[in-house]
Amino acid sequence: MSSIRSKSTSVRKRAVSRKENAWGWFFTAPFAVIFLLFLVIPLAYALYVSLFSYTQLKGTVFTGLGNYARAFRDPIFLSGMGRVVMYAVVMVPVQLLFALVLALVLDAIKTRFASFSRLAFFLPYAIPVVIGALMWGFLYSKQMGPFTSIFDVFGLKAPAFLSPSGIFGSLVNIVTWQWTGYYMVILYSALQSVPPELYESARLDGASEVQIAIRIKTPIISSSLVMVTVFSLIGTLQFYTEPMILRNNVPSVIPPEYAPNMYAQALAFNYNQLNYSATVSFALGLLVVVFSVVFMRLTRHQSGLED
Amino acid sequence: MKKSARIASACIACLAMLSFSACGGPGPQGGKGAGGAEQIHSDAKANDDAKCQNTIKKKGVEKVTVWAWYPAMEKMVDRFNDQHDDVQVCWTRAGSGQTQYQKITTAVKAKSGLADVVQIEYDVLSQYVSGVEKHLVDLNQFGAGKLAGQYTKGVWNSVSLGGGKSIYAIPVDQGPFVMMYRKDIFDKYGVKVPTTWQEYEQAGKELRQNGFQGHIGNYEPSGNGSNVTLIAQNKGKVYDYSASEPDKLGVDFTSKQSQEVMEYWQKLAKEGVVTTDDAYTAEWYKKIVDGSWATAVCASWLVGNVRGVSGADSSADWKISKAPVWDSSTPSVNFGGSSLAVTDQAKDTKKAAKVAMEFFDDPAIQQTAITESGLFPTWTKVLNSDRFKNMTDPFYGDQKINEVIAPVALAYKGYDYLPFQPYAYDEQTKVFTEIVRNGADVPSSLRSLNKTLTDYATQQGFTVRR
Repeated sequence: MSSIRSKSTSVRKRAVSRKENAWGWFFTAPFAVIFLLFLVIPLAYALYVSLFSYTQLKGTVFTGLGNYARAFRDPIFLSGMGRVVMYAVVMVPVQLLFALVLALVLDAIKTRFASFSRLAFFLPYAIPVVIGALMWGFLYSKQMGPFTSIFDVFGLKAPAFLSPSGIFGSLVNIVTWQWTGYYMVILYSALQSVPPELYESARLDGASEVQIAIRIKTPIISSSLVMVTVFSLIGTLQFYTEPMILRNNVPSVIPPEYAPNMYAQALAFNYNQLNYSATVSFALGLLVVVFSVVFMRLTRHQSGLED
Repeated sequence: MKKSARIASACIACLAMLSFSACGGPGPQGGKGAGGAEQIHSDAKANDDAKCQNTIKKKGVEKVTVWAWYPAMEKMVDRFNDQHDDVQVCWTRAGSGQTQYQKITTAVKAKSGLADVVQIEYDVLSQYVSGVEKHLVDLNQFGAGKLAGQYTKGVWNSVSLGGGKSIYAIPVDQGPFVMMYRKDIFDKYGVKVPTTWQEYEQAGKELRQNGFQGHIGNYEPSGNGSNVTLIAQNKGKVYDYSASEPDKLGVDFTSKQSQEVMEYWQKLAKEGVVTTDDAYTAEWYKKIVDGSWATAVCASWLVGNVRGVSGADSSADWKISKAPVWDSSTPSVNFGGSSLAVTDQAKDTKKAAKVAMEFFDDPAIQQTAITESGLFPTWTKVLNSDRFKNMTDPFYGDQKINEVIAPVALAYKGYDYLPFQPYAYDEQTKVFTEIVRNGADVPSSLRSLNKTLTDYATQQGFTVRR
């Protein structure tokens, strides 16, 4: 008896959920179409293209995974990959730390000055990346930038921002300047959703503001922290616009294959190797997925994404 | 993520892939006929709705689409259209240099969207002609061969890729290699203007000794074509390619001539006689005009790029002279310049060829090209005319500059570029940077550059000439 009843309810449930599913699909359709058209299909096409090999004399030949074997042994691709990993190691923690500190400070002080600073910190993000990079290119310039004369006042020599040894820090600075404010806003809004009663009870227990910030606020917004880190990680591995723009100032310091995305661009449009370019893009995508998945697994507990 | 959803998304991806492989994509391409029959089209109506940057006044006349980035192009196009009733040029500025080439590459891959006639620089011409990439039409079949005598030897050699019968473009301008120098600086520090590279080094040292804060000049490791030209001056032939043997090429950076040139610049950089800044950056242009350098050894067209640069030294007294030489046998060389080529996507190939061959064949247009676009002409008749020789330039203190430049242009014999020149330039830059900035060993650096380029050539299927 009981088993029959449970069976019939489960059937009914399934019917209901199927109906709900249909509506669900209907509402996601606009997104799904665009997702398919501009992401899935180009992705699939790039994968398809990457299975062919093109040479100037023999034209296009099917080579299966041959291009991938070439990419993962290609010193140019690997060195570019190594470079962006280095950037990730430095840039991601720096951005995260700055964003977190700023968010915590702004959350603690609730004056008009705070809302003004919030806007000021966020402002760089509102500037298009290309324009930001162009602007920094001028600021860094020895001939045209202000630093030469500023350092001159103190009788010092301005650092060579665009030299082989200075370029790493210069690029880290541009990206940090541009994105910290954005990450800060995400963390700040996460802090806003924390019920203030929590802080009150902490204060009653005698916690200082700093202790509240480190012991209570930070752990509570850990899922946002993980999200911001993933954004920052993916953005860094796909490093492109900033070095591409600065390359106009110092083409010999930033080679065309500085970052994997730049290498893919050069291959496709300057070296006429569209197929291998697709391979490099796909290989980069693959590595980004691997990095993100590993990171998400490691931070499963903090992000609250456990099944 | 639920398992079912995962499967569903995987299926969507599979479907997308299947549907795409079904409709083709970049499958193996068959070799094109040697005669290039597939390259010739004759659809006079295809361009009727083409969008142009210029306004075409004559209605119902066949249009030929042109991509070019010459300054004052619109004025020249209007003049051409005014003079012709059988064809009208529909012009678009599709970016200059590399930007336009990227558009060509894209249109070639897409097999549509390419203009009928395109501006192409000599050093990238072979890239669109070699191997399976036969995207430019041989203009000899439209009578371009008869025009050979009207152009300087060097550029004709360039558009015929080695002086054969096939002609892949019609020359427009060139860049005779000369030296711009600041007479006021040389006068002030009492140093003689150098005429040889030995004197150049000496003059550079004397300028510094006599208190000049700047340098005599700059060696730009990212100069691309200019670096090839500097080696060509010492009779080093680094790139070897001709249309008569389209699947063979040669790279020779290991020759004594190439080595000597690179050792010379390494020495000058080490001694602090020259700087080694990157070329074509805003900073580089500014340093040319603000008195940081006493000379700029470059193509004659450089003056057009620095004329309006802000921060210029107002007391500058510019003059022009022949580029320093190694000895009396140093050849006249050229850096840059461009041509008009007809593409295999031309809707009416014959009309497109007519435009390419006749566009600049008009004294009024040639005059605009010289005075307003700042192009250095390739037309021998103009080069030999008194009017041209007597032209003065206020930038050079009204010096009769063409008395210096025209002989260089006329004496230039031409040299080759590889069918993958952008790649070669990028590799060149890396090695030259190491040599002049970090004191890398010249012979072994050049050997490794040679290997990189020949390996690439082999990988692309070319046979490397030894």
